[in-house]
Amino acid sequence: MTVVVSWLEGVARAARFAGRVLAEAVRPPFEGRETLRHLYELGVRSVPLIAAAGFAVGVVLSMHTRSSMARFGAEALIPAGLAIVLIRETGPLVSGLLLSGRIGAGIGAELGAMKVTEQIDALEAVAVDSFRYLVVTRVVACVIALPLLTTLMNFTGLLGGWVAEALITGMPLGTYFRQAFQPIQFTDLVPATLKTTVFGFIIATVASYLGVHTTRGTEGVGLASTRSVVTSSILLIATNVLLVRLIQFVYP
Amino acid sequence: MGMTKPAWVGVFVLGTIALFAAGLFMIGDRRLLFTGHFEVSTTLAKVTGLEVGTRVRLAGLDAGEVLEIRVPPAPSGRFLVRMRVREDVRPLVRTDSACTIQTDGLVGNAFVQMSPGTDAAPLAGEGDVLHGVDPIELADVLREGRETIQLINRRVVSLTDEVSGTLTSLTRTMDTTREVIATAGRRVDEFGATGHEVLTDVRHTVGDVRVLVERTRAGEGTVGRLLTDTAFYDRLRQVADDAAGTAAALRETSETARTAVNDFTAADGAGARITQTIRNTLASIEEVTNDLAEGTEALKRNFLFRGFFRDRGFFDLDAMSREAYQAGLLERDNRTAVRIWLDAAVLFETDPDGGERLTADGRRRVDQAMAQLVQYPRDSPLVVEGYARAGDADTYVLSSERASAVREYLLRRFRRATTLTDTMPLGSDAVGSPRGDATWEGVALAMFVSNDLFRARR
Repeated sequence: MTVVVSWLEGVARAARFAGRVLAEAVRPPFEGRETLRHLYELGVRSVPLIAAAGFAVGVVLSMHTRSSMARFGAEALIPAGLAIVLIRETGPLVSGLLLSGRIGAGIGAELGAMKVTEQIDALEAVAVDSFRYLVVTRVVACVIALPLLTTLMNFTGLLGGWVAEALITGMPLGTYFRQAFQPIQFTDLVPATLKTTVFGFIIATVASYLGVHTTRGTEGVGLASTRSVVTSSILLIATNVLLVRLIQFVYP
Repeated sequence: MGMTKPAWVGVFVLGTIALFAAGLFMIGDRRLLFTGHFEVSTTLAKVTGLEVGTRVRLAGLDAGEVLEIRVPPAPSGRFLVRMRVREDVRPLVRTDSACTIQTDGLVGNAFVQMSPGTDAAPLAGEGDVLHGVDPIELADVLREGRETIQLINRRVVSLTDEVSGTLTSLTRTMDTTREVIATAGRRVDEFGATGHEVLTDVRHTVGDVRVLVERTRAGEGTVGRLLTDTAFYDRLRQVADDAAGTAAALRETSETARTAVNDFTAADGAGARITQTIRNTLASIEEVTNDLAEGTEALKRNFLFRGFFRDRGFFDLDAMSREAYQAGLLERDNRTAVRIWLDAAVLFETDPDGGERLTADGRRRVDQAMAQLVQYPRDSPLVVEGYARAGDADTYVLSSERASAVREYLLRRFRRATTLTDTMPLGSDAVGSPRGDATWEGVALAMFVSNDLFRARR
């Protein structure tokens, strides 16, 4: 019983933390330089990972789709099928999960280490708003980076699909992209890409919360890092279900 | 030139936003948002697979998309499909253009196929409603195919009847012709003999006349003087020549007629050729019917269509063992067998060559039995079960022959569909026969009807 109560208290604290992030994020000053630095660390440095993963996913999806479609003699639908799968769901979800691993662990470990080495207390001592300086900037950077990285993943995924297709049929790039975008609507691309801002918010907020609440020294740093990955991944998948339902409700 | 971190961030943000914008542009371009377009509509009774955004093709060219599908206010109404079409294809869209729904291949997406109009018709204007042709669905095609096959079957049966009737008339005509010619030949012979007699008489007369003339020439009597004029003799000679010529012409005519008849009836004559042509035509018809039957069989066994055929009561006894049939395989899909037992003693009589054939009483008995079965739908499967006495070496063959004879009669007399009427030779094994000892001689008509219907009719 005590466990449940303390867990619920933890949830309430995290929710309050998230609410504070939202409130602080829209209030100046915006700490632009620090946000830009995090955008570089979290966004630009994730580009190779996302590009490589997207390319590989595109190649693999294309190969799988080919074997299934070939049974019906519908190879012409491969680009369109791949684009629908990638843009609607696979792109946003896979980039969210990959970044929850890379960014979530990074933020959790970094803030955890700052906490146990009392650097956060030191910032407070020199009258710097540590919450705004450390947490809000990371969350804002993450919210901006996620849709951009998802777009990159969609693009590299389609590129991978084209490479797999071109090796077999020699289809030109332009034809492939035209065929791929044949069934795609604005309502497929825009909501699916924008929903990753929510993923970015979840990843950065969960990792920051666990980081700044680290206890038990260096051991706690590792724990905060692991828990931020696991918790943000689970939350991300659960939220995705709700968001997809919501999108389908708004754009039937 | 070293790139700073903020510069990299700039490249990252701008690059990915450009990619996103390119995606939006491609979608917008496909939806004709950046090119000139106009709107037309069409009305359709059903909108199979159509949705907003479905492509519109004009003579195979990607020409636009569906904007809206408006549901009709009443079941008798038609859906209004509003479409956005590229401006550059406007010259092809005329007021007599027609729209229908088609799919890419077997599993492809649906699209609206717009046909270009005729040169004489005016250009379609903004918001015009074009003629809509309702799409044909696979089930409709199969139903029509089935009806066509049944129609062909009926036509082939009636054609066979007609051809065999024609053949019979032809044979009869040939027999009559042969008879007429034989009679004519006899008459000609008789006439020839008569002509010969006439000729002999004439010759005698001429001889007598010659004596008379000689006597006359010798100056016997007053007539001699009169007859010294040779004109009378020449005329008599002419008469004799004419008679001989007539006889020869008659003989020649008779000969020509005989040759004509021989030519007609010879192995390679015109008669044989006509018969052969008719025979070939019949063989071709039979071949086509067999091909059709095989095609349908193949369709029935295809896993895609098997359910369709089974639902409609098609069955195939060739693929069913006797045991499976007796175990009630046909009664599995909520069907009940309605069985009428017919005794061989009433149905059949023995042929001079030892076989059995349906008697007139037998046909009446079958008619009575069928009268009891007409209350069930015509598309109920009907199996003619054949039975024969046990112990005979040819029990099975006899039961098969009996069943086949009755089936033939049913097909001919009641125009039963061949696909729904089949035979099942069961030898001496008559489970549930009225004799009570599980034996029967004759046939049983088993009609398989749905349980609900069976209960309702009882």
